[in-house]
Amino acid sequence: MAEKKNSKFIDGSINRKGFMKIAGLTAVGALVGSKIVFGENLPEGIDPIGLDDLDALEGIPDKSDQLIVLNSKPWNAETPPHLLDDKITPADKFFVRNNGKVPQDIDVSKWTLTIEGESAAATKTYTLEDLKTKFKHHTLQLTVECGGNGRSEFNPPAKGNQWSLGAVGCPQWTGVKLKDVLNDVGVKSNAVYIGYYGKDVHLNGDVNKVVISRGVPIKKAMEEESLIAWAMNGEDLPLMNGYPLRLVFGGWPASTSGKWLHKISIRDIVHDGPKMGGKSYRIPKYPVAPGTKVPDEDMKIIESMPVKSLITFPKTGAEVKGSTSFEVRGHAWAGDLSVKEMHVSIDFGVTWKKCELGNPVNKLAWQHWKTTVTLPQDGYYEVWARATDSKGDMQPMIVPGWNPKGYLNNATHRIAVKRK
Amino acid sequence: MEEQDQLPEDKSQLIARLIRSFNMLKVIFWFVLGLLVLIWADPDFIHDEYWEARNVEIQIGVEGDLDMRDSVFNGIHVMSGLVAEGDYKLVFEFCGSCHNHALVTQNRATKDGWKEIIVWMQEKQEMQDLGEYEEPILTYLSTYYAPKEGGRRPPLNQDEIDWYELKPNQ
Repeated sequence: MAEKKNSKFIDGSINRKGFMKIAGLTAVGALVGSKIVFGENLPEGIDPIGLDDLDALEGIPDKSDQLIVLNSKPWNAETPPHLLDDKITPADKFFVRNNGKVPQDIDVSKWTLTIEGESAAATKTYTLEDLKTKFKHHTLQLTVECGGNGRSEFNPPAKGNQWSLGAVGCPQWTGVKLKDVLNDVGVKSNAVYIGYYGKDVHLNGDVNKVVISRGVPIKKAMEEESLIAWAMNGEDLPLMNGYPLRLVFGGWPASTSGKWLHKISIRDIVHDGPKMGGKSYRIPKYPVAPGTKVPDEDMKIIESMPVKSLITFPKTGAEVKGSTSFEVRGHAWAGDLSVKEMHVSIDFGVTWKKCELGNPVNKLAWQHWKTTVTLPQDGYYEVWARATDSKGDMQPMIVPGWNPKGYLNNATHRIAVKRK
Repeated sequence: MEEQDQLPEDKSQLIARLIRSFNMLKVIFWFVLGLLVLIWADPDFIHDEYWEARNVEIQIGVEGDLDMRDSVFNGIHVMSGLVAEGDYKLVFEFCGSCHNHALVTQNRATKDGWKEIIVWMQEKQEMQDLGEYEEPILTYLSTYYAPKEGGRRPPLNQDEIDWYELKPNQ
């Protein structure tokens, strides 16, 4: 069966000692009329655990079995940093972050995108074919990172999927410019925001309940790099990443880049869909002490993401012999900005060595950096990587400002290295 | 003649016996080697839980009706990954009916914190009232999934590092 597929389940317990197989059979066994503990107490409308759990055994469709699965209901999985070494993130290694169930039985020929809203001059509906034939195609490499990437390090802990490092990727996206489509419909001068609607289904199965509907200010929507995309690296989008159509806003929380896109509303107010308000994808307007209860009205929406970098080579745990030098490399990105400088430290941040840093292939694409490291004597080292953005902001060496939902942890990535 | 005949017969019997005991030794040798290989390949092989689980697996395979909901290994509830102590079965049923248990096991909060999470799910995700089960569920969660004390950035977890030799010119 599929124990291999789930070898990296985050709690490490299910697969431990090869139990995945047994658990799978269990789920089947459980269906065949066995007693459910406290079954009589289940509130009405809550299904007992059953076939759904079998999904977890099959791995994530079209994704590498080396992704770290944080949750299978809904699917959420991140990529270990060393698997992000490619300059262009392969589709099977691009992270998965879902709020609801992936839509089933997608008929591409019937898929439409409707543009509407208070600030739309008209309501227009396009088929996928319309979009592909009516507008100019663009292919851009855009960095997409979950706003909660790094959440696992915050203390007191924030609830939610405990992302560590790999909820980020930079594949090539192909589609049309959002602004071309919006202009084709007509945008009124009072437009403030765009909000998306997708076809993902609420976990409770209610098809009328919107899972997540976020968006961006009209200014970001009208940028040259804001895309309505149907392809990743020249292929159809993976089902898990929004097939057949999605938005892509590089450098902003990935939750702004709506998946399974079928409607965009041009709003005359800041969009107010589910996950726009409260504490979702928001941080305090002012710095707060860890654990502070922050009223909702004191929270602001996250826009451009902070400067950040990853060491994608070597994988943590490298042992080198003697004075052998080795290459250290990775990527760096900085929200709407670019990365100006890249440094690494092998002495826990005391001294920093400047790295070679390339330019982005296009705006909002991550940049590649590399350097050569030699370890002065036998012992335990950590390589720390620190990027500096075009405004001079740097990655902090400790976890940055605490916030109630654990967003925007851009602390330096650290790997362990030994010389022996 | 007779004596002359007997002697080689004794010899051949002796040889046959030697071959038999040598064969026996070979069998024992291979058996022990096999056992060692098995233990090397899967150290849990010698634990009772392994065999219990194997039996369950076999029975499910044959009859298809055995419930694994009660199976616990190394103190962890196999199906959910929950710490198999206290009222974990309540958490298993009530939480797992809507989302994966990993969403429980990867989180840490105080009793108030877990209460907030439940209220949030009730307000935003249409979760039902837990009634009399809320208290034992909160107690379980805040006991086994309590916040860990830690600084602003903990050291790299040395237990999670999988050391390997970095070959030159990679």
